[in-house]
Amino acid sequence: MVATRGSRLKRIFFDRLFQRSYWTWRKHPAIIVPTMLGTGLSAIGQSIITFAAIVVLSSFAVQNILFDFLVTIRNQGLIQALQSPGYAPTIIPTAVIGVAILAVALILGGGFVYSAEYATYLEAWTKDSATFRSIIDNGSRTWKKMAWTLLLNTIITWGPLAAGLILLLQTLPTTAVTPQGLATFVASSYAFIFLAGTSLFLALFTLYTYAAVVVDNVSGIKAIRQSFHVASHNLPLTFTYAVVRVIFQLLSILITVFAGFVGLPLTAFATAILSLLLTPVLHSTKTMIYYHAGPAVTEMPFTLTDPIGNDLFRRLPRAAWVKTRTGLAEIAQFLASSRNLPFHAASVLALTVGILLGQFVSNNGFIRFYLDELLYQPGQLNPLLTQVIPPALGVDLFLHNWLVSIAAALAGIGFAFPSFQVILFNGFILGLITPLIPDLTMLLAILAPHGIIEIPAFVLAGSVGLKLGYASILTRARPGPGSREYLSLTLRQAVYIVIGLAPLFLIAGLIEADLTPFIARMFGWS
Amino acid sequence: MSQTLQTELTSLVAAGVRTDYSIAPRWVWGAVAGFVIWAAIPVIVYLYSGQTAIPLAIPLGILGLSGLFASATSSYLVYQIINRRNLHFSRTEELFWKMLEMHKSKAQPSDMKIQLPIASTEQDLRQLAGTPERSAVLWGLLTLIPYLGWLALIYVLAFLSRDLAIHERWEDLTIEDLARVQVALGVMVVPRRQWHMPRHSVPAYVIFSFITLGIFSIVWLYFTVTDPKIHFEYHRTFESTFATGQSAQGQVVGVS
Repeated sequence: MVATRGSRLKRIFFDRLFQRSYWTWRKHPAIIVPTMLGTGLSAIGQSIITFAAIVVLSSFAVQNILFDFLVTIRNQGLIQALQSPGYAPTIIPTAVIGVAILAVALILGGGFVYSAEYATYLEAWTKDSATFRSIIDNGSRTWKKMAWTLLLNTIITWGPLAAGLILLLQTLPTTAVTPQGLATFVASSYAFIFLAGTSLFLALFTLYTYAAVVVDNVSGIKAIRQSFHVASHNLPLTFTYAVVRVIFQLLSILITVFAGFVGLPLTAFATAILSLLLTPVLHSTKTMIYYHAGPAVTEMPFTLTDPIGNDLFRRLPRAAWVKTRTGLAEIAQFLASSRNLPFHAASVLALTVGILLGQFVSNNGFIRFYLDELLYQPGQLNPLLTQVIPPALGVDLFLHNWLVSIAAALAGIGFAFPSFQVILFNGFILGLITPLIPDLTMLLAILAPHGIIEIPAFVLAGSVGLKLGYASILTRARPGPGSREYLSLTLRQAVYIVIGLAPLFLIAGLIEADLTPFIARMFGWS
Repeated sequence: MSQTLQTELTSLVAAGVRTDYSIAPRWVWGAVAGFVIWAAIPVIVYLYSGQTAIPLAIPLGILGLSGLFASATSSYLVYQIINRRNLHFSRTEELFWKMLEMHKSKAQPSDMKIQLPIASTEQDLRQLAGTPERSAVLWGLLTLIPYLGWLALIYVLAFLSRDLAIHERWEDLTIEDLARVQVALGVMVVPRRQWHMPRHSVPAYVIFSFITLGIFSIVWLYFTVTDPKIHFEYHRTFESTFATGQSAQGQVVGVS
């Protein structure tokens, strides 16, 4: 080595890290699993909210006050409805309990997911390996530290924004009533801008907090301090990362908006690209910026990588197809095994209970509200079907449903309940709208063409989610290498099954957008 | 000279095909199309404002998507140019360090005739490596933003012109000092550069770009795509001879 080269300051190259992150993602596709678990975590949060909503709606339906409640919300707003003595005793305790459970679930679940995610990126880079087993091990190893750091980091970074928002909302009702009220509102608006700016500023410096937990094995304030240290010593690099992240988000919004003008619904496409491709690549880049900023790590050597553009449009689709075929084979194996029957039965049960609950709520106030207040004409097709370009709508529906199925399956890691609830909620929505359809023929015409593929696919996603939940319960109840191996194998199975479901949802989506409206019109829909 | 160093040098020379690539000037048409489309949008909105009979959403959507597509091609071009700059700079730096390392292994530590030019070359190399990395990903994305992207493009062109000029200057000084080392060692030297890249006045080009509302920046973009050809040609010439000499004699000879 040339001695003098060492005397120069170590450089960290953003593009080299970004490009290598992409190739790491390509070489070890398993690194997207923690991101998929992240969508599962969102589904856990949503399942808590939807469960609370179903409890409230069903309770009002039993008390026969659902119609009045919906009318109050429509005419006077949700705040007014919450203040009413007829609804508050049910809504407020449910909301408080729901929010408390949600916060705990998101912090603890986030601890596991982030721990698995950032440690897997590090492992994929430094050890050139990323397996399902290591994802589970990484998640279990530092989840407590990560959960504690997540809580502190959220409070420190986003606390000022939350405080500003509360301040702004508190001064809203007095606006325009008196000059003093208006002055208070203007003052609180300025305070809000300042506090929001503070949060954004802090977000830039706490960027590496989660990476610090896995790289340096620190937690809480120490991790935040480490992040501040690295960010301030590598400010241009940190700023580059932040700008790249923001521009990717902005561009996806811009494309979605322009596409929306010409009837091309691309929201689900943008979400899929962001969550399955960009998030893992960017988070991996961020982890590696932090890793390379460490004093023990040498400067990344000059290496040539293949151009990403060629791979994205040529080899990546082929690789995706190979994985899809593996997924289809996994589905066949999953269905053929009689050991999985209890999970299929539980998933079907969730759907059935959901449909029955939905029908009950619909017949006890919801249907009346829909017909009398919203003036819905039964037998009318969704106007969206005629406003957008059909194949694009089909692809959008496919991606949306597929992302929901990923969330439904992987949310099962939260001890099975979230998967059960996601399927139950989908059944609930189905049950809610079926009484609005005039007769069975029309129901079958609008549902059967695509539903015959889509509904079993959802049930299957729920089924594997329940199996994943069973495996995670087993790991907690009987800790040991056997149960952990079973959990990692089930996680692998769940991931491949949801990948294998993609072509089924694509077919269902295209039928729903192109064929279902045509068939529905033949059977009396207008 | 160790076998490893020899292999590393050969692979660095071979990597030149992938780092010093030429970019087809037709990519500039993407920037032209982007300029025309984004300029047309406000004109159309202005002309049709107030005419409620004509729905603007569909033409706006089509133009917006086409504009984004055109901007994506020019953004990819910007990515390629900056990426080429980064790859070329890194490879050149690595190549010269390896050459110097090889010469140092042959030189006597007490021989001041060789040690002085070696120290001077090291100084030049540190300057050559001092140009900061410009993120191709970042600047490619920034030029994709409608309207604001043109400002980003002008900035990109300005720093590329400046960086390439600085690189060539330090490269010349490095080669000059390296030649002194080679002469002292009695090996054949790397030839001096005959032709330089065209030099552009960055302030004048920036002002011109603003005066012409961005049109001149497209011409400047074309120059930035084609200018490094001469520079790369020089690299190809001395590196290929260097590689041939190395494989033929088992030691680095260079050319005179």
